[in-house]
Amino acid sequence: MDEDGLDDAFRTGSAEGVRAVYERYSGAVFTIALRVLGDRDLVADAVQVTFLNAWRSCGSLEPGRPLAPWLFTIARRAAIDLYRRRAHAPEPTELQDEATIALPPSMEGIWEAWQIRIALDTLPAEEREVVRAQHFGGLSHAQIAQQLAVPIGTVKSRSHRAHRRLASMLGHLAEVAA
Amino acid sequence: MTSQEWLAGYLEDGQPRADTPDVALADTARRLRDLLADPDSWVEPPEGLLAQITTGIDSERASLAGPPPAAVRGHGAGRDGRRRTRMRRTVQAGAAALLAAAAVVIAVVVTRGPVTTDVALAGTRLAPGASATAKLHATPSGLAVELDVSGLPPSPPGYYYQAWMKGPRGLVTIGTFHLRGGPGTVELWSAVNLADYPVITVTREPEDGNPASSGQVVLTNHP
Repeated sequence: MDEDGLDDAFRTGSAEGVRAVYERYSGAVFTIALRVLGDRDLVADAVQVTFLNAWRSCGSLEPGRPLAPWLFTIARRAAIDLYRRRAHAPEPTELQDEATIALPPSMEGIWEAWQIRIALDTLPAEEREVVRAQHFGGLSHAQIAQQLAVPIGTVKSRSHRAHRRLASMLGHLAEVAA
Repeated sequence: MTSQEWLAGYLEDGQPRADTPDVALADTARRLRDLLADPDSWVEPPEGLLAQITTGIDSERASLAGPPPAAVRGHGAGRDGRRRTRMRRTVQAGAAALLAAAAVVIAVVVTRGPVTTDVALAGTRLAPGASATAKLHATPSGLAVELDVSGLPPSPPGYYYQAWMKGPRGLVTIGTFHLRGGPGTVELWSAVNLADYPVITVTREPEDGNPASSGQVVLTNHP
């Protein structure tokens, strides 16, 4: 389903629309909730709240308004609400030292994490696999070639294409920063 | 070289370059490259989360839908139609009364079935010294749950404990309690069974009017 079709299907509140939006954006919602909350049990709750709230509000998503930033706002709010509720709850254990109390990441940091996750999830599977092995796995091109049982030239070309795509999808973040 | 080509090259190899377009771009590129290596950028949502979301949506949709509309009857139905309607209502009322009477009899005769299952719950990092045993009794009215709790402090003012059963179809609350009278057995009731909702948890909830789980799990059988 293309982006317009996805937006239209979601605006109707149909089960198919919710499913399609979940498949496209659940990774990004999970990523930013994890950055805000750090606790996987809470993160699953934040993702549920996000999609339920988005479904409840789907009628307010105006035609032509892009879905991704709208969903980002709902997801961020859901995660921060849970973060605040947890922060206000009394800890049964000893009080934490002030220096160990973590603050939620900045708006800019959450937005960049959202953008990079969407960009990664948009890559073709074979390119995503190479990028993951390279950055998350810390492997060299030669090691990736061995792991995937493909020629090193194939790994290099997939890596090159993938990073050009990522730069094309993420370049606007650098323009904003500049 | 365009800034986009520069960014692609930097993201790929992370090598500092003499032709860096500007400081802001370099900073952003460095942050993006760090995010590529961050485990949070690659983590996948747990299986079953979509099912829980769609279940929540379905149940909310069902509660909003209300009863189905009454059938529309034509003007020519006449006296026979009205008589049939009266007769149908009489039969329906009689059947409802019979069902209600049967329910009362069942409730009076059958109080509580035998203990079918004991489930051990352990304290989480929020309540490391706590533990509990849930004794589940199947009854005609639902699942009676006796939660024998120890090591869990009374809920502080403004907070309470809430018990839940969780499964692929979603999350169902089975009751709330506070333990301010000291440790002991809490009686809870569930309309869902353990086979479909195998995870039992107790969360700490603020009294803020929000019916959703706070996610602050203090006891669980599924650590």
